[in-house]
Amino acid sequence: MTHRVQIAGLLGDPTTIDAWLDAAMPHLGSDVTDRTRLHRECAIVLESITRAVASEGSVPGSGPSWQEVEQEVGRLTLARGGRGSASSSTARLMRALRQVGIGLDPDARLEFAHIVDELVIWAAQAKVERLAETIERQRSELEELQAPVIRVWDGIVAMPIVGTLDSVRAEAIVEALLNGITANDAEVAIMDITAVNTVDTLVADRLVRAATAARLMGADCVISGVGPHVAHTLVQLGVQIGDVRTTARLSGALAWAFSRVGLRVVPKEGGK
Amino acid sequence: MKNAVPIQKLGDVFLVTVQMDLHDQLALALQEQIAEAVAGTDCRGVLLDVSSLAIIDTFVGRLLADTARMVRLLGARLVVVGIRPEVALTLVDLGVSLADVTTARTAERGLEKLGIDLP
Repeated sequence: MTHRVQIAGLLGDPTTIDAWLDAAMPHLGSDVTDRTRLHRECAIVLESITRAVASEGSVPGSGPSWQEVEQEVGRLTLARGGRGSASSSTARLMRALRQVGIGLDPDARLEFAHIVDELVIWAAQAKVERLAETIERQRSELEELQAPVIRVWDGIVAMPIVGTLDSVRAEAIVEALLNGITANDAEVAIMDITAVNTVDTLVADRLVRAATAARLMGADCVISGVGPHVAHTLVQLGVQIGDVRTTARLSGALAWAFSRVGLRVVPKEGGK
Repeated sequence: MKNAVPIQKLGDVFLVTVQMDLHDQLALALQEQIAEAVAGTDCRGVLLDVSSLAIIDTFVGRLLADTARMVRLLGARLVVVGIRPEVALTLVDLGVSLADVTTARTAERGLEKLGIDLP
């Protein structure tokens, strides 16, 4: 109990915050341009710790007051991160608070150090969690982008493939194409690789695999958008494209697809 | 094992619908049945509907290719109908590409590929 009283006294001392900032400044370097703002932000964190110690004791637990401290530290980390500070900088700022407790009794000092440790962990964790959220969001955005199966005409589906094909993505794309053939009752499937960055043996192998599987299902597959550069690479790599049909431009693939389903594109009578 | 899979004659075409998983013995029996049926008539083709199969292994895959060649020798054509996406991918991974076998998505398209117009 005496530890708690000592720590509460330290936290309640109006000079504590300046002692904290003084201890922290040498470690923050050029990150801090506005000490008044940092003072305000740290005061909020300090107040939340004071409240937590008063209501739940000086050992950080899972109670609502300590959770509030965690949230405040997280908020500070993200706010400083938004201003260009590394998360390690905020972690150092938290660590500097340990210096303030140097005058406490040994036992109280140990307990205070424990609180500071938690603050450091929370500062790092906030950044990591934010990063994980960002990665997850971008990943799902990427997934939406990656493989739309378009019903071009009755019996014809097309799939524009964009970006880089790694094996996980290629797997998803192949599955989406085959399911698209079933769902749209397609006789012809067009894979357009105009926007694929690099075509290497792996990518070529995946595409041929997709085309062969499509043929087994009874649909014809054509790969369009094979430019001179890609053609050159495929020949250089010695890729066996098998009997898969390829065209340089999408229009060629479309014309072929139309003829497969018994259609023909003709100029309108009397011009435009 | 005789007549394990029903074979129906529809005009110039035999329709074979596989409704249970083809284990090796059954597949061999089916191959024999198809060959006998085709040899006994002058039909144009055989539609082999495998749309209810969730698995086609290398043995059955090769057997399909062999059956297609046999049917061609007998003067008709075999069309394998309704291979599912996942089955198709598995076959490709197993190295069974059925390059000589005509495939179709539905029985109707299979008839078209045999050159038979529906009324």
